[in-house]
Amino acid sequence: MNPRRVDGSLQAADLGRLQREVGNLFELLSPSREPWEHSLWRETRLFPRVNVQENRDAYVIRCEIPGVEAKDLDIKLDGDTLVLKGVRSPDIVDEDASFHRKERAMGEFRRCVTLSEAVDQKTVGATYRDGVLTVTLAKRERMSARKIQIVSE
Amino acid sequence: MEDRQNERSGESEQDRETSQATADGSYLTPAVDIYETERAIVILADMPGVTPENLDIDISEGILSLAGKVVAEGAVGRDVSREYSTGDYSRSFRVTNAVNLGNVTACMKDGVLKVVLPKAKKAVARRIPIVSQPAE
Repeated sequence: MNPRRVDGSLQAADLGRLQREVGNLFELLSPSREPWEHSLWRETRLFPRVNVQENRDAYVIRCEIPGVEAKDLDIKLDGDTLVLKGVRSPDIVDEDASFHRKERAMGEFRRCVTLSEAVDQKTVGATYRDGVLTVTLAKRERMSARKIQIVSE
Repeated sequence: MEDRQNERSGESEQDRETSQATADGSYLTPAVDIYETERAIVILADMPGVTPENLDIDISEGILSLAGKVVAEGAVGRDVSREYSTGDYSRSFRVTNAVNLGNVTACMKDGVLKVVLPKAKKAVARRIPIVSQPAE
């Protein structure tokens, strides 16, 4: 917010800003927006944020984890739950460095994703590129439909 | 250094504030760390999904603009859960003349952009000659 005028009087721009801020409060309560667009969601620093997609054959799980090395990521499949662990270490900076801003979440993280269908433990694939981790889990093949012979008597 | 979010589109202040990271066509604001050492000011910006060739850094009229394009990854099926949306990133900063804009360097790795702004040599104190007015 910009400082008020020296004499303390309200200007039209101040009222406009007030209207927007009140509008933002209502927006926060409205269910029409996606949860991650809310500022409160950002504040919780849920990390990493995870998107899950599925098709007939597989689940594809993507998450944004910029600035880690593959060796700092630990992905496990525990039954039908994918457990994603890792650590995001801050850059090494000079001792005399002083920070003006620190918005990037750092440290250890752990997220679990429980899948509703059984997946094949052996064919889990994971790639890390440009700070995005993609895990592909093949669904376990369903029992193929068995034709039942009808015997006419 | 002053933060100037989504400045690059040149919209009015009001448009800018309402267009942040929401509807289509707007930009996501990357989280940044900014630190200062004896020799330089360093900006680290999280821009996952941006390749070095899709990055655009621009300095003009004292405004440093960072922009990153994300090539959308195709949907592979239906969404089970979505906690983030992808989109292009943009963020701008006002830089003072304490920075040597001619020697700014940047590198991008694993979705993290690092911009190093070396500090300008301290302006040499300039002597201002005083001309004595001729006596009237």
